Amino acid sequence: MLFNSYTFIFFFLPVTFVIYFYLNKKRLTEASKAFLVLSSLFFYSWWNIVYLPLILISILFNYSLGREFSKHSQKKRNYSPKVLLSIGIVFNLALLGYFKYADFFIENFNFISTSEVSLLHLALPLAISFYTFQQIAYLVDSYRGETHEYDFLNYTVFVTFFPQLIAGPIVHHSEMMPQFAQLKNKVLQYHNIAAGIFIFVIGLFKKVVIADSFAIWATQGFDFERSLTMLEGWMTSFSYTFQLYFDFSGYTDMAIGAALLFNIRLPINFDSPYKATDIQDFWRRWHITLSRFLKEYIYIPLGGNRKSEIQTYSNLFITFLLGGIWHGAGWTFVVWGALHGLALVIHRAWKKLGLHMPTLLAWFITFNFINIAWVFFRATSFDSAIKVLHAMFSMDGDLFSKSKQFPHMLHYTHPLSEYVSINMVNYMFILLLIGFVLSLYAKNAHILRDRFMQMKQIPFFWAIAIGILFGISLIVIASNPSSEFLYFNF
Amino acid sequence: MNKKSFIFIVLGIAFLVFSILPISNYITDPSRILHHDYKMRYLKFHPHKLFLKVEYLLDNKEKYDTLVYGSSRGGFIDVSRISKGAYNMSHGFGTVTTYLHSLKVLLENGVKVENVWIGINDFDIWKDHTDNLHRLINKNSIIGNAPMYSYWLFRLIPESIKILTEKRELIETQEVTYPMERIPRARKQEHIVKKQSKRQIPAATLGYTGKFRVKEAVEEVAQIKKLCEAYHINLTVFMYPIYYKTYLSYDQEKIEKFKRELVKVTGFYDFYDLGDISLDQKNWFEGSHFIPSIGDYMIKSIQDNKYFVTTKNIDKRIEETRLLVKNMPFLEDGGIYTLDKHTDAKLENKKIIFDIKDQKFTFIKNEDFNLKYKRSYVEAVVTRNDPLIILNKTKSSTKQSLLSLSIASTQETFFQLYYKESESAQYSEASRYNILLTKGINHMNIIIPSRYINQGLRVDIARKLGVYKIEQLRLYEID
Repeated sequence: MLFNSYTFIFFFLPVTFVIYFYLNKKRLTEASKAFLVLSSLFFYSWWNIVYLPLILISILFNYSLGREFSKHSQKKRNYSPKVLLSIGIVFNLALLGYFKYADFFIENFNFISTSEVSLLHLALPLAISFYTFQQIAYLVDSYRGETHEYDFLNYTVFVTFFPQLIAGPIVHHSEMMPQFAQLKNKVLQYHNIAAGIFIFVIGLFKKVVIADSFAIWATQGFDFERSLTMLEGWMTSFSYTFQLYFDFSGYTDMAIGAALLFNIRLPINFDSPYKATDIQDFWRRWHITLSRFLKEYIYIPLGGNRKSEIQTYSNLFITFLLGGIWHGAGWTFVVWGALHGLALVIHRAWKKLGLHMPTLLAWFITFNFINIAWVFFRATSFDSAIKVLHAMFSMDGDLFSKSKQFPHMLHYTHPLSEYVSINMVNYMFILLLIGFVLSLYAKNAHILRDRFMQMKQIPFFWAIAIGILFGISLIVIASNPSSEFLYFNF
Repeated sequence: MNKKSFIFIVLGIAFLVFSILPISNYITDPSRILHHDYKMRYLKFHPHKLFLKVEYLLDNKEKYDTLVYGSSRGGFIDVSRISKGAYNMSHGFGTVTTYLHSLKVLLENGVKVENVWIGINDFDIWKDHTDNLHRLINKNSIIGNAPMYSYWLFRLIPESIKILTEKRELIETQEVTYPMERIPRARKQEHIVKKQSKRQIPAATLGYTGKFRVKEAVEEVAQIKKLCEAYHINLTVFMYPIYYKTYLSYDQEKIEKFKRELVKVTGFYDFYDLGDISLDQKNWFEGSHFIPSIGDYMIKSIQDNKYFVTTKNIDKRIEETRLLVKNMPFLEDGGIYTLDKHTDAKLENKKIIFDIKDQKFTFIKNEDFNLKYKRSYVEAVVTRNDPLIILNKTKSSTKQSLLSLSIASTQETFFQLYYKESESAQYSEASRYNILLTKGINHMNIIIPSRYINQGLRVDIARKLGVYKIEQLRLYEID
């Protein structure tokens, strides 16, 4: 079920909300939790019920292993905790590897060995990358003795809680479990509901109005990368850069908003990432919960910056290479991860040298690096990425060529074209300008949320504005009812 | 304002803004479904004929004795030649699924009918309407009607916006109350078509994907038959004729299978073959719709019991249709068109002018893929986006050539031909012929004017990276 669907907004969310708090009001707290789990599994199965057993097996396995660790700490068992942890991590990675990377490995094996092993053509189970990471973190912390005695229901709510289940934020048990246990969170709290609606509407608007508008140019640009002029190449890459940000941060805002309705605070995942003035700063602002996971469970166990400088560079590079591979099974993701790893290494070396750069120049370099690296992230093949980059940097075409074919084609794919006649190039210029202004100058959603939550009295204008944004978003959904979120693919 | 008030004001305003959508859809109602209005329509916008025809019949339960179901092709049949009380139930992309559903609604709601004719299309076995039935009326249940109303109310309908912005007005129409009104106009058009003897009419493949629902379609006909028996209705089943290029582009084995299964359920009149109707361009408005005099001929033939197929003569009928295919020359109309693999038999003794498996034929190949020669096939390992070959040495001395193609693909992609009108011209997107490759083996034949071969045909193997097994990529000279 998509957050940006009528089914979710008009049926699933209100029904789950009402029944959950009704059960809590009747002091049936365990029943309310069980109901939340069932609702979340229903939400998950809406796409394809075939994946349901997989997530249930994964939960059961990881929970049982976590319990073994806690028994071990009480000296009830004689298993080696390291062996148990290794089994756990291998199980999780094997599950992920089988579904996500099997064909990638077979293709490359066939290519190198000229053999003809058939591809498996497995469909990627929804959310597998997210719930696998979440549970690996749980296992590692259980091994370290940092988890408490959680019961099965609590653990299942932690993994399956529908706002964060599909595409994060990647939550940590230590920040979620206590919230589900707190009694005050089982009571209707209007200030949380108001803030939840506020942030949910901002996220919905970001997704259905802004991101989906950029998607039209980005999709067409990458599909027709062979015929792009320089201008179209840049517009294509910028469009994707903004599409990805508004899509993913919009999704996260909706997740945070939906969770707040249930008095649960999810961690922030974005902090105006395109304002970053260096690559390290970017990763502190972009997909923050993934960066946190990579740091705590890959970079630090590898040695972090505790060893030699060379070793630190190597750890940084490996961490981001793995981060790239986590996003998808393809060489483009490997290249994307490697580029970011390399950029972090260069940034660290630059800092070590004590060199400085004017802020504006630093922002310009950082933003353009991110923009160019996204081309690899988005392209369906390495060759396709090169073609877009070639268009962006080629001096053999006209910069402002009146390339008729591409805007003409775009015109017919744009939903608005059915209602009004639009000049696609001018339209995209305006849209990109809005994208830059919003991502560089506007306050981001979590700042607005915090400000909103601190207010005792809300200005009337805010209610009018949010109501209108909500209404407009609902109308726009009608024009594109099946627009999926980009991070569902990862 | 406190936060509780904020919640109610936000939701209230959102509701008000959002309600613009269903209200404007209801007011404009381009399909006329929401107003149940079959007497008015907007210019340039098609009302939903099936829905409105059902509504009309529900309001006139005893007016007609015969219902003639069909797709838009059936719109060119003058049903008054069947009976004075015949009503033309044709509707765009009508299939046995929509016939069954609407007939059920009509009969269950007391509409009196003595005869039902159903016209079956080739696309009945691949167009699946079952997911769209919620858009149609379900008179027996309020809950059953909810999906229909929600579909028409909660969508951004481009026509609604145009009606509002361009201030279009409703005009009176007879297309539901008297569907025969179009026949005189169509007969006038027919005279014009007959004078245009050298038109280039492309095949109308109508969403053909190579995925079939033979069993389901036959089961739906069986249900129609059962329904007719239960209400003591005479059922007449026929298959529409088809334009030859459209016919040739389909997998006729599947159509044959459908006919064999259908005949077990009911006998039917079979106009679907490569006979005179199919081959004569003058009989066709375009690649899908025949002219009214063909409709007249069909009615007369059915009344004279010609072309009737039963379990006793189905084998003979299939043999006849196969023979028609076998004996049909490769007609020339100046363009490229696709034939299904059933035309393979006609290639015996034809001169081969290119074969990718035979290394004596040379060509230009780019670096985006590798060719590995195996015993019975050639493997194309595509590592970049534009795997192409140019047949620069291949020449044809006949007017037309035929490319016989068989490629096994693991994914959906496009096989493309780029052609040039002159040697100095560039290959361009405007001079391109696309062929959809689906997962599995894609086997077909493609007719190509030889002037394209002689200017150097460019063949793009696929649009996606991967390994493709080329079992055949061979060019023949044909007469």
